[in-house]
Amino acid sequence: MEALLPFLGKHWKEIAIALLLFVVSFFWWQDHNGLVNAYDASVESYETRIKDLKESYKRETERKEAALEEYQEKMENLEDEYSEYKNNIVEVKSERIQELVRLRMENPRQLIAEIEERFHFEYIE
Amino acid sequence: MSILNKILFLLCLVHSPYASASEGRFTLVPQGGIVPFEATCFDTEATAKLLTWKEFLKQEEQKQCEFEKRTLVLDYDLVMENLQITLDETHARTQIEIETRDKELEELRNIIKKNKKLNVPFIIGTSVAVGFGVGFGTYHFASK
Repeated sequence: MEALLPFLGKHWKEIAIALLLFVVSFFWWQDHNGLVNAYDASVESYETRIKDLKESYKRETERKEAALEEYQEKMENLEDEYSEYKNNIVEVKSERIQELVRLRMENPRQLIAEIEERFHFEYIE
Repeated sequence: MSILNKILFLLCLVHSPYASASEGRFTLVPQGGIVPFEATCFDTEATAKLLTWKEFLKQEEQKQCEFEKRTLVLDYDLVMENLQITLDETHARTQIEIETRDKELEELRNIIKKNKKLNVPFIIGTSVAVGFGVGFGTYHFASK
């Protein structure tokens, strides 16, 4: 202690400057560290956001594609159903034509009645 | 012209062939037969086709109408579903933006808090050191 005091008394200015430099450096380091942490937090936040947004867009595309597929499937079923009906009605009409042709030969009175009923024409003997 | 003549003239007009609107006439004619009125003649097959067309016309139109209606409903449903998906995902994206920004702000606040916390003791320590130095220096000069 006896040796230290004269040393401190002799070099107190240098020691004070060194202490000041240390304190300034420490605060500078602390500020820098804070900025780096803030930057890291922002980067992490952006990365999380980008990842989640990408997932959201992907999910949206997938959902829309699924909806479109479902629509196409339903439309195909509907068209098949209608096409089947049209094919069926062609057959039914063909059979009905044959039936009416037979009716002309076998029971003309009934054919007359049908024409009257359908078209409201007047039958002339 | 007397009133009686006028009435008779009107009655003639009413009963004339032009005044009575006929729905149309038809007859069944054997081959080589004579039709008692001016006509357009169809054979049995053509007549059967006309009858059948008339018979199924309503049903076919109904079916076509139903098909068109169901197609429109499907189109509309698809548009609505797409809009709903867009709405859902836009909502989700807005939530993501809000949540990540909140989190980022919270982290920044913590960093600021931490810096403030650390500053106080070091300022005190520095003040003590500087005070000690100034005191020691003064003592040193005074003792000289």
